[in-house]
Amino acid sequence: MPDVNEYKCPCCGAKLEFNSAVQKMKCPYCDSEFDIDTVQDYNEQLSAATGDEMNWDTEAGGEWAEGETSNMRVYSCKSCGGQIIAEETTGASFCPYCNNPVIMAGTFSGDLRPDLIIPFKLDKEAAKKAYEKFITGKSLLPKVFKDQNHIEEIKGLYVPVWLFGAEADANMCFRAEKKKTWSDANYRYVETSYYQAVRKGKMSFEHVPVDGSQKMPDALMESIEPYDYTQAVPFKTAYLSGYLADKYDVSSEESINRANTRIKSSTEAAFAQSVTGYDSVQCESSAVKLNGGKAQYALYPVWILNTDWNGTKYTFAMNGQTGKLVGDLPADVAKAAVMFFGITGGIGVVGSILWILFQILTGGN
Amino acid sequence: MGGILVSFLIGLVVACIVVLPKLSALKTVRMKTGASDYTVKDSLKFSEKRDVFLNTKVEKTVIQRSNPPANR
Repeated sequence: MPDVNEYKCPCCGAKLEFNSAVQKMKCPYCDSEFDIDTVQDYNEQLSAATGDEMNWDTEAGGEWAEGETSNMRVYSCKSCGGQIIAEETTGASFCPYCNNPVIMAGTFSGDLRPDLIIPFKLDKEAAKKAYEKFITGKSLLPKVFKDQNHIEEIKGLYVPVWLFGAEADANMCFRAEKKKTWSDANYRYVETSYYQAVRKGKMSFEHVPVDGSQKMPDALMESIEPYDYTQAVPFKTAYLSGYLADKYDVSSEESINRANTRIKSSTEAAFAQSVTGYDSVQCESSAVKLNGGKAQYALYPVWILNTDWNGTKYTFAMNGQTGKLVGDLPADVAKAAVMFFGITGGIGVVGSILWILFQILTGGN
Repeated sequence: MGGILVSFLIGLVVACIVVLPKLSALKTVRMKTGASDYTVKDSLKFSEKRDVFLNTKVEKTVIQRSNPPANR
């Protein structure tokens, strides 16, 4: 059976047909005409830039040495199911994720040993100050929420993360347009010139973190990025002293998709930035192949605060290394409405008075 | 009447400009869109960079005039 080739119109994406009258490929929808060689090359480039190959070596983490975990205890939260690790001397009373009491489930065993850890650089006092600063100056935050003191409940927690690094080998096609407009006595003209921009190249990523804890919301963990990886050190249990640590319950294999999405998105953005001099640029196809993709298992320091207010749970997190604090705050809806309608009404009334005065003074002309 | 309507519309726009940023300042948690913080410096190298001209299309539209020019 012969191959049936379908050629896509670079202007509108419809199927092109050969027009014997003009001896060119013509689009039946937008009437654009193209040389056969141009269309063939355009479609070949498009089909070459499809299909990602994102393979990873996900073997991360190591084995615990004998006796290394003997003084580490696992605490289980009956409410949210979270499992927290703390040294025997540190202990844990409340779950850092849901603030409910935890019970000791036994000694820590199994699981992988982290490859790296970024030790806490900021203490609880710094976290308290950051939280106080965070909630001040926000005029639409309910005063009652601001006045309630939750800052004693801030807990230092090491969150498990998988760090992905690879070289991205990419092949991308962009559709670019240049527009020129002019007019004469009767018509307005818009001339659109279409281009295909082909970009092939490589770029490298290192230590792209993906949250390895189900209990820690991914958006919260990504919001406190970036961490300075240069301060990461080989893991030692001594760093856990005085802090809680979460066990990973999302494997490195399960975290791959998130790493792939982030790497592909940044590669496309970087390649798109090289397509310049046009009025619009659109990525038509892209293929990203990862070379030497490797994962590492690390613990990142986070100061975490949970609080319930009006039946809703609010979680705040601070990067234990840089001090960046995030968390969604409640809005004082009544105050926002008063402010909104006050401004609208105020300006509306003043403007109306000025307009009426103007009408009177000018006699309505 | 038109002046009154315009005054309230201006008020509405100003209210949006003032209130919406204050509301969005309360929301600071969002997923990252990419991994730009983790690119290796100066690692981006292109092996092919080609811009190919495909074609040009001109569209013309009649300029609508309230008073058509008189025939001379």
